Amino acid sequence: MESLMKEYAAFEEKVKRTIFIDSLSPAATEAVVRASLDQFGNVIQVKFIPNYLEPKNVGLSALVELENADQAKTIISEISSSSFMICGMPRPVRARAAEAEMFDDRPIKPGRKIVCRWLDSSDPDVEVAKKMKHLVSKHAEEAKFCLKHQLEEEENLAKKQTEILNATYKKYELIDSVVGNRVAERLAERYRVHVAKAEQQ
Amino acid sequence: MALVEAVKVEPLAVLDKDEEVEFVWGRKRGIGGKRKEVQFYESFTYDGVEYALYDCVYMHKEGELPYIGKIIKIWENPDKSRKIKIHWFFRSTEILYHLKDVKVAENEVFLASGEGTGLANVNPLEAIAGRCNVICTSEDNRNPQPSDEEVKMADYVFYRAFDVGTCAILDKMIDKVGGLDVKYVFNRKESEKASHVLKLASDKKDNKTAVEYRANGESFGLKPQNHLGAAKLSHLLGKSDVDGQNSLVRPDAVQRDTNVSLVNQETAKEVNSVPGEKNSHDLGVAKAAGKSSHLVGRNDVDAQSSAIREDALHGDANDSHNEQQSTMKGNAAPVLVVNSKIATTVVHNQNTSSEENALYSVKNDKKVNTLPIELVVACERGKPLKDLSIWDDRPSKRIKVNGYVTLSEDKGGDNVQKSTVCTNDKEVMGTGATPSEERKKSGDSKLSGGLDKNMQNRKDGAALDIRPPKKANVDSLKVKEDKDRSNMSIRKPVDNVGKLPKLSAGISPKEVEMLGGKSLIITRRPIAESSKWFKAPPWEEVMQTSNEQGTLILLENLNPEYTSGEVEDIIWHACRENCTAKMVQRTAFSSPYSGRALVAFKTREAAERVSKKLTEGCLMVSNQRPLVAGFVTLPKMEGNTPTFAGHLCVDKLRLQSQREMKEAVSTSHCSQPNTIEHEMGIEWRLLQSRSDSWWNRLYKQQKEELRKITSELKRK
Repeated sequence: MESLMKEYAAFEEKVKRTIFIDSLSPAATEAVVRASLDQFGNVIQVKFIPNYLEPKNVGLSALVELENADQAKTIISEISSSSFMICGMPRPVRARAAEAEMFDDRPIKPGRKIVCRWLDSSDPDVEVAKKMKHLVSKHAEEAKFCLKHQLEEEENLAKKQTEILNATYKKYELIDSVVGNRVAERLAERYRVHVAKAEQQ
Repeated sequence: MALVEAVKVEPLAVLDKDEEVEFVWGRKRGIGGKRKEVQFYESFTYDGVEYALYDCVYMHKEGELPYIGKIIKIWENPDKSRKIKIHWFFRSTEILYHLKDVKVAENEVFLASGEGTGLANVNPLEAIAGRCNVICTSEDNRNPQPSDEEVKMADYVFYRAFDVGTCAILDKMIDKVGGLDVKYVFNRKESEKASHVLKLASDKKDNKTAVEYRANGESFGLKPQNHLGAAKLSHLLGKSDVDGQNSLVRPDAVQRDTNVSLVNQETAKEVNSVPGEKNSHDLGVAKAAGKSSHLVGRNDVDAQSSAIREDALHGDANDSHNEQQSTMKGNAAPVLVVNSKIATTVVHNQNTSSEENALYSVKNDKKVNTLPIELVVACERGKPLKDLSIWDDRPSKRIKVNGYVTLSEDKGGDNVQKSTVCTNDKEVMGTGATPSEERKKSGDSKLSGGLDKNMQNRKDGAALDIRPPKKANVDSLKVKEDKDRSNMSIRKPVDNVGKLPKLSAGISPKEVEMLGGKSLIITRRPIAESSKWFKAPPWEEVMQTSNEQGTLILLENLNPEYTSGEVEDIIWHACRENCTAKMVQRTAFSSPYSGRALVAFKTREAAERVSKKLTEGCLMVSNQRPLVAGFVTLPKMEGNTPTFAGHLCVDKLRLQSQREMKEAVSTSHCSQPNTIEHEMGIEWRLLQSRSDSWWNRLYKQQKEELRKITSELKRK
């Protein structure tokens, strides 16, 4: 029993110094995550959380175990306060404190006893239980819908930003070319407006 | 933030050829060098200040704060140049980069260790800028613990080392720290430290004993000087009054081991007289003195410090014990808690509403008071091996069957309940995977008669049904108590079988409840033989095969804290099917109330059975959660790299950036405010927090709904 409690205590300690990162691009690998977080503290382990049931474009999530809880807190506050981008932009990653249920290798909580029983049709709780099951399914559907909605919003935002990006890029290209071929200069002379001279290529 | 490099410090400008700074050599140590031309020393006086080996000193550094180091060698070359070798301490500012987020005190320094540049250097003696009081506050056993005053008065403190090779901070001192014997790392023994004070008080006497000592001591190595003689004893005891500050000279010390402690005092004086004086004692003597005082000092100090520690520990143990006790009391589960094991939860619950079933309230216990649970030897979880549970399973299965048999002969009572029970068993027999198959079969034949009877009696029994469950509540408490007292809940039927004979006489619907096997305590299931011999394939494989064969089930409404193993156990106990389960790990948007698990079965039939049972029947876990089960096929992967919204790049540059990406190990950064991506990043963060709030609201709402419905449950 002692060892179980110790094991669980050690596990809880580990949870405290682990952070949960999501919104990771599928291109991010363990090495990438490790390298990007190493500047904040010692990364002990990076484990990705597999996604079996959700749609695939929600992005990856990972559990990053650090050396101590302080480092974890620092990272979380850093990432939350500024846009930290890994492996692509502009979508930043999100970080939060890890929770025990996120770990797939968690030890059993000592002292937990599970009891279950079959309800027979005469049990007064049967109706309620049926309602509960129904409710659970409903909730699952709601969650699915919420997720879908979120993904749609993300797509929209991405699209919008792509447009802006392309437009801005075009503008820059235009300016570049105009300055480059000295048209801007000549126009400036014409209009008596000061403009920076292009560098000789 | 370069490490301290080889220091070439210019001699003090003050030291012109004209001005002679006072310098006097101290005790000699030995000769060295290729041609025996180098003279080593133990101490010297420079500019009126006395320095000894292993003293800490400031070293001049032009234009900067002086370095701090420990003298580890002192010598004079044939050309009359005087050198010292310094083992460095690092200020925290010097190793800021490597400290990262480690907390340091203002006056904390780090001892250099390991190998490489920056560990130690040879310097001209004249580079010394003064003595430095560095106290070692390491809690290592070998370190004489400094008093609070000493720590306050110290210039610097240290308890950690900095490895110059690996640039790492070391908390523990090993035997040799960067080549320096650890005893010179720690605080010097009281005898040596206090030597300076003592010198003043007992000079004359010192000389006397010094002479005596010398006469005796030369040939002695580490052994305590046993033949000091009674004459000296009185002499020394007289001195002990003088040593007010020397904490080692305690009456107990003297009594405990007179000879050794006598030596200690002797050597204390001995060391006194050495520095600064021109007495040239043998190196051997000095060493003996030093070492024996080390021995003694160490013992005493250790005893002292360890004694203190024990008390502290003891005190702590007491405190925590008391704390626990009081929290126990606070929860109306006093003395019993500590002694009994599972009875803890029982006792607790007896004091709460009688409706609460002892076992089922584990969950509530958690919220009310976590301590008893931790104290509770977790029922069967604590039980070691599957063997044990297998062994226990057998008798209980047998007995259960018998129990059913007897039951079915009863008239009235919970006929309907019995029928479920019987059906349950029948199904169990259907799977036939268990060792007690034969027993069940025999039970079956007996049962079938009973079943028919029950079917007929159902209508009659219906009227009676309402009553028993309620009663059963109250009595099940006692039941559980009985069970728990026996310390193995599987034995419950065993206990109750003893009561069966009484049952058959009368009709006690309460007992029916406990016998029925309605409540299944989930323990580690007996592991199928096959899996004993080889390791199970990794979950991914199992899942994929199962998915293809259509034997993958999704379980919902589990307690999210459960582990995969526990899920497998639940399925085993409830449906007598072996399976491999994996709890879906929580992510940013998983439901905090309904845990999900993927369960893979070997055969389609097994999966269907379980699914049917769980869907048509109601398996209540922990009395509050009906499990929801359904077949599931995993969504297919779209190609190799799924699209990920939000990572943009300019189309034209796409090719170029892809190439770059392949070469770069990682690209990560915090966006700067003057870029396009910065604004975009902010928009994304806005979206993220919006979606967070959606999820929060959704789950809040769901929680409400769940709570409302759960409150409708009659049996909690």
